[in-house]
Amino acid sequence: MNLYAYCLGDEVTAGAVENELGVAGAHPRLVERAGIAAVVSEYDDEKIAVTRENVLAHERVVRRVLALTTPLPFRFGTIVSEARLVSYLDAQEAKLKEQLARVRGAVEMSVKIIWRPEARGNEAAGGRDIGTAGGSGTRFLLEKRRELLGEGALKERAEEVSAWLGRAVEGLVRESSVSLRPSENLILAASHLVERELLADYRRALGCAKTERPELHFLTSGAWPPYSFISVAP
Amino acid sequence: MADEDLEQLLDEESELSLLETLDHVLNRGLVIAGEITIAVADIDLIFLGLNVLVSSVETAHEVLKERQQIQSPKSEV
Amino acid sequence: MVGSTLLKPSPEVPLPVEPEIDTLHAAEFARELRRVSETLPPRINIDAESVEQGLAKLVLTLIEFIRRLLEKQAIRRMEGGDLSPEQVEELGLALMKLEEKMRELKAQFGLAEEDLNLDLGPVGRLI
Repeated sequence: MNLYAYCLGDEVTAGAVENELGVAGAHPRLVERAGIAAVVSEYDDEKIAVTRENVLAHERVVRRVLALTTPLPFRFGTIVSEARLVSYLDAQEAKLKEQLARVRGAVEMSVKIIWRPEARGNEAAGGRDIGTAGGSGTRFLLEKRRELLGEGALKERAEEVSAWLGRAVEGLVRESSVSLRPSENLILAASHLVERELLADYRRALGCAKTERPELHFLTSGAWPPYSFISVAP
Repeated sequence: MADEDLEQLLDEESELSLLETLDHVLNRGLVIAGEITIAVADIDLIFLGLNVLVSSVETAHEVLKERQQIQSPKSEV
Repeated sequence: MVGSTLLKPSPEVPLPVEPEIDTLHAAEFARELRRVSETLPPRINIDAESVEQGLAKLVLTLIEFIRRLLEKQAIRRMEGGDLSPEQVEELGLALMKLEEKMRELKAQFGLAEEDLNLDLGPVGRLI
């Protein structure tokens, strides 16, 4: 029998989670070691499918904990034996406590921004005029160059938007983790670590900021457990 | 994750919610080295494996013994 | 019992169990997030076939990385003006053939563009 691991923390009580329904309908319990409690439930397999049901079960349990305290969430799909989990807690005790202190009292908020292609304008234009003489080899290089210039401009745009966003939430965010251009149209995906008490101010600041940039499309979500603010090397 | 599973599971209202959730729980969070099987090619697996071997508490012998008891979990995406 | 004396009272800001998602462009973001989740790495099988596959992926990723560097280098030299038109043509043809060859190899191993990448951890991705 294995365990499915949801999250861990140093302010977690069994009472907080035992009535929740976790993965495979099991009730979560705690595995405690070195002053840290891991929230787990019995799991009778070595693998788990990425289905809506399982993902929501995972999230449900972690959020139940998040309502009371900020835990460190496990990546979805963490299946271990109790022995392995205990030795992990032993081995990583110091690092885990450091991470818990880092996120204590805060939650993760997410901002994703799409920059519409039409609004991009003629980003690919520019660069020295090389001339149009030459055969298919030359054309190949010219096309690549055009792509590269477009790429460069996009990168600059992403950095500009990132800097603007940083200024918009300055003072309200404990930490930021930003990914530039994670996909074709997503110019930026940012995670912000925000104090619970500052959430209302943060939301307000973000609301204002959105109106300043009508050419950008926003998706904001939260609050999340601090998935993006974990740097405990495995 | 098989395409048909994805299609079945997603309905319009909660598609975005699920996708946003997936973006958080699948790529980030705590990892217990050697146990996570959502990994990038063999490079990541090797990387994680090495970290298990150098972790402070266990000797290599204990790790190998335990690995035999736990078959590598697999996840379907 | 961990934390029973340390447990803080429920925070004044109650957190909903469902994540609150706020956007005016749901379909657009769903499209982009689908794209992001589709490039998630596949699971790992520890058997002979996928060891070979994993190795092919590694080798092709490195070749792809170098190929892109070569392209960029060629473009820089072309812009720098120190190549004759004939040299530009020759360089372009060679790189074009290289790109075509890579496309064949990728197809042979059933690898897509997004499959060829290396996660270097904190340093980011190779490509």
